[in-house]
Amino acid sequence: MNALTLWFHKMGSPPTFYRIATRLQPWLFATALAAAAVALYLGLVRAPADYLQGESARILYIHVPCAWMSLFVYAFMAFNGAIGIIWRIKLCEQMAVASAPIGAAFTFVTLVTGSLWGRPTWGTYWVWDARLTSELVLLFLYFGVIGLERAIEDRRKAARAASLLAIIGVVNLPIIHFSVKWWNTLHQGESIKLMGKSTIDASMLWPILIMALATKLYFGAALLARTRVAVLEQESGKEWVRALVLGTNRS
Amino acid sequence: MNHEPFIIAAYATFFVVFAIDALAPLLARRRLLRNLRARTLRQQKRES
Amino acid sequence: MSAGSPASAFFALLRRDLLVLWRRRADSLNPVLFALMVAMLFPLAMGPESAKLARIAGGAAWVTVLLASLLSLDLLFRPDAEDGTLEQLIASRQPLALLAAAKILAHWLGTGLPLVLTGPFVALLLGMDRSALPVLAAALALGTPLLSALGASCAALTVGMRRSGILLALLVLPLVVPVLIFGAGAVEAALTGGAARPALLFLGAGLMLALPLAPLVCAAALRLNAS
Repeated sequence: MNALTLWFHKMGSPPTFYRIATRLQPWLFATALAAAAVALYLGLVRAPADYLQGESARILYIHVPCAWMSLFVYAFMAFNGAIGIIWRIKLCEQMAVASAPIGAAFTFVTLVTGSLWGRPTWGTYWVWDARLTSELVLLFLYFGVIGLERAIEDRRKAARAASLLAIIGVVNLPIIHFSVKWWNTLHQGESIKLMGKSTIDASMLWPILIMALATKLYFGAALLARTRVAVLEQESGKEWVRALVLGTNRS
Repeated sequence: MNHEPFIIAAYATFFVVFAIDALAPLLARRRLLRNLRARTLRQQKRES
Repeated sequence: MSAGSPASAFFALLRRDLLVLWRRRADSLNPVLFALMVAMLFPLAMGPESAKLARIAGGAAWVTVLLASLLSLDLLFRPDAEDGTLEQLIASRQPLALLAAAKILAHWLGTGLPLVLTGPFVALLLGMDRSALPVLAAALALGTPLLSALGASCAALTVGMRRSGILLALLVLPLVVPVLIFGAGAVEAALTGGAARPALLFLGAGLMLALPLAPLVCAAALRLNAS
């Protein structure tokens, strides 16, 4: 067994994962905050107001990275779910389940910031344009995964069912996106395009990219945090958890 | 139209949502460890 | 008794399910009744002005069929789960996906097909232009099996849950958004003089994709819940 396989197996062991995740988590949070701070400084202080949209373009510095993450997390969730189901790796199932609320949070923020951006720019809080409508469907897909997982009593079964649903969803997601886009062009009453022709200036690009990095780091941290809880719950009868619980009051 | 309230609302939403998202597992873990500790101590007392 | 071939198992289960559906005809008529009642709600809510109703008739018919098919999903696996038949099916040595396919087909024949007929009727009630009826019927004929297939996948995931009604709706509705979009889009195109063919082709493509995949997903979900 080579080093990579060994590492892979070790990572699957709950106490090892817990230990590594505990050490990694604060670092990920810290770097996420640092990157976010840099992005916000560049976006709010250094970048000029957009020629066409005015100050409200500054909302895009969080809207766009959140939109990217809402999709990335769903793919990540389905990917982990698939690995968990196919190879019966408990940890992957747990990470899939843990991803769902974080992804839903990103999707929610995408919708709210998109709506707030739309009001000063296009005069209305909501438009049924392709992107926002797709995001709304995505939010419901997330709710479905979360709801299904919470509705099943057996925790292991719940994780597997939620993972399967995530896989179904990820296959559907491109189809949904495509169909919503098609629908939007069919009903050409709306000549509004939410991300219009404005080419993004370099000064606007950097804050978005750095914030995208920050959100990825944050996702890693939040994922580890939630997975740690799931692992503790699942393994609560085991010796290592008992030792952990008795050894320290908080950890 | 003044854009400021929208910008503030957007950033506020961002920070509030992710503060909640970051805190929830922290609180859950603390609560779980507290309960497990209580349960383990009770069990030990019973066994001894 | 020796185990039969998968094909004979498929037809046996299909025949049995159709028989059960026939014996409980009232159950499979419920979605139709529901569809008609919902159809009645539209004019009550929006006023009887015929021009306005005719404008939304196609889309309303589709939403009605969608919601009615959602209601009928309960019939798919729950009765068998409750009386133990499902366990037998899973334990049998026949390919579970094939058995799931038989159940989905029976379900569509018993509840989807009546809706294919009800939809155009609802559209007519709401005053849709007659010229779009064939397109509506074609779209429903392609779309309702898709609704059955996608619905079955989600029903399999929630089988065994006592009160899964709203959760099931939450799971199914995002997944069937494309069916609604293309189905209603085809009708809209027919009404406005555009081409309905692309939308119908997309529905057909989706159906081709769902036909082999849905039974596999159902089988995986049923096994998962049974273990």
